[in-house]
Amino acid sequence: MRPMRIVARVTSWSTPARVILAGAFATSIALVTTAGVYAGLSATATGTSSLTTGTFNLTLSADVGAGFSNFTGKMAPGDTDNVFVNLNNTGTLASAAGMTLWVAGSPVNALTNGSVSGEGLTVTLTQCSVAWTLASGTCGGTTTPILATTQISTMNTSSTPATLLNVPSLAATTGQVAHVEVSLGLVGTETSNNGTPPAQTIQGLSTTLTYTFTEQQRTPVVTNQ
Amino acid sequence: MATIVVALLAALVVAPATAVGGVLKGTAAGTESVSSGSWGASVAPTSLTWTSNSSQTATVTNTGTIALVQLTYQITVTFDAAKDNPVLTLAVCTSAWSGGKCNGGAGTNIPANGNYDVNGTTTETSTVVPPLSGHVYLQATSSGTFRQSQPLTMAFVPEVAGPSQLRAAVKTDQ
Repeated sequence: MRPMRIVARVTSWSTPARVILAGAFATSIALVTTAGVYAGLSATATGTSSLTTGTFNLTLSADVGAGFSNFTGKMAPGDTDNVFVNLNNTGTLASAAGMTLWVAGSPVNALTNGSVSGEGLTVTLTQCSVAWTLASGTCGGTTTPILATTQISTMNTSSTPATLLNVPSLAATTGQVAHVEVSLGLVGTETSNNGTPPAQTIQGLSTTLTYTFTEQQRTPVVTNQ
Repeated sequence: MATIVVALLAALVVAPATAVGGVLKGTAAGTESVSSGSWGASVAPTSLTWTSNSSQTATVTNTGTIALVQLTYQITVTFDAAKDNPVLTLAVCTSAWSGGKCNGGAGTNIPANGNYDVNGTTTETSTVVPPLSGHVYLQATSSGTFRQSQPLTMAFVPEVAGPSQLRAAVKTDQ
């Protein structure tokens, strides 16, 4: 018996076509394999960490007397109006050393805006080691200058605050700059002629001053554990 | 596309830096209100004119809200110096002059010892000052010789300078 002859027919492909076909095949295999790997090896790891944020609060209160309040008298040049206050850090974070102060006047006028050269309101801050004596306005302990006499016109915006001196880092919760005398003064050197003040004058004006004290938190701490 | 990629990378870099660099600030504020006083004095009339020897008066009024301790007067005397020879004296009284007298007396001379017999402006001070909302009274008296046809005048400008001519400084603790 004559054996059957099997003839395999081979279709002739051009070389570029073969390359494209091979590439497509390989890509599909790779995609399928990758998908399979991801699907099969998906894993999750979790950890928990607890933390608590601190608080940072600065408060202002009267030391003796009324604290910040309204002066009813008419100030003359050379007069001083004093109030006595405490600044306390009541937050759970300590503060950095130093503090700033700016004073806004409302309405803005020659008392605070410097429109009359060399004249206007000034402020001076002095700390006493013990509570001030209100009756005499004197310090029975040791005084520390915090702000030398400064024209309010130079510190009347939040972008031009005065830097207070000798203010240490305030401890959390208990730190304080205590027994501070805030002394307001008026400089006036102008002359009135026949009952008329100069065109630019500090006379006969009123304003409400807002004193804003600002402290910053202590230096941030990096904890590795 | 390149721009977007750069922006995303920048956001990833900057955001943590801002968070790390931010610090807490604590503020506390207090308010107080203040008013400034005023100071000054006016005179009426501001100028006196003579046609014959006599005494004339002017009234000085405190126009301010701050008490005074001293007043400055700019005093200008005008006459024909080539032909006339007048002499003027000036005195102040806390009461209105009556019959040329200050409470029966002569008042307080300005200046204490002197008079005005030349043309020009001089500056004199006086511690006899009007109280708040009150007055003092000037009396100028002419003597000597001058022609009625030529003006003889004395003009005043009261001046008040702070703080030297104001009450003593006051310290208020509250």
